[in-house]
Amino acid sequence: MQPAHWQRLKPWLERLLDVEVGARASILDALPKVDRELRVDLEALLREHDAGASLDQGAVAIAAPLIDAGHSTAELEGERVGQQIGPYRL
Amino acid sequence: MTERPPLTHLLDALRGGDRGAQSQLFALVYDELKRIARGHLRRGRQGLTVNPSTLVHEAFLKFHNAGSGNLQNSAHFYNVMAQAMRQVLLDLARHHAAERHGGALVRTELGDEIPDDLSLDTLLEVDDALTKLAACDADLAQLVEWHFFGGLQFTEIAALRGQNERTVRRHWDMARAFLLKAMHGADAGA
Repeated sequence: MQPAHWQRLKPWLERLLDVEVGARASILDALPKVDRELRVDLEALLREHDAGASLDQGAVAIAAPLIDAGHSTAELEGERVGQQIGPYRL
Repeated sequence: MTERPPLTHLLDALRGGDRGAQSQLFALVYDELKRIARGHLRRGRQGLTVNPSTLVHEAFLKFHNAGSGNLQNSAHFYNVMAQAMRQVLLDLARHHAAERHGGALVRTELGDEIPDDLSLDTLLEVDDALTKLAACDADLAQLVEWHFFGGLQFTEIAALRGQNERTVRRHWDMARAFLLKAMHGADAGA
């Protein structure tokens, strides 16, 4: 998505997410008719929003199996053991 | 020998745009996060919960107690912490992906459960989508780094930004919709 397009979408999306679902249609109907892409993208963003709370658990929870595997953390750590970063002891 | 400068000096240097200070602080935080993650693992595999907010706060307390007096409410500190978290987690994801593709994944006593592809893919996809978001909206991208990668709560972010929590939550909803749309390949506006 181009930055200018997002900046055009953003205030509409903020309004749409701030109202009850039933009130969205009137906002969507108020969109500039010539800007078909604006409506298509807003509807796609609303679908993603409504689909659920995916990502709300955060990266660490998603990565828990990675951290849980342990050995990779140790290996990544091992790559840095004994190194000096600037004036800091690690 | 050069004495270790207090982190407050590093933060001052960061504010002055000192890139060397940024890489020093980043490396320190990066290492601290990995140490804390290992500590969580040592404390018990049963019911493992790693609260990202706890990681950030443990690191904060450590730095704070080390004599860094004015770290509190420092957006710089949280930026660095969240970026370090993002880097550590992506390093882990890429490391596992390389092992999986290279067939070199070896089970260890801690590693009986090999992470599924979903975790790997999700992290890498979010990172890619976040880079796209950053190109469009730096504020929302920072919110995602703080909340999703850094684990900062909405109330903390609201305090740091001088916004109310409701606004931060709505901005998170917007950012999340952007990320999911980008991840699902529905980025028709490109």
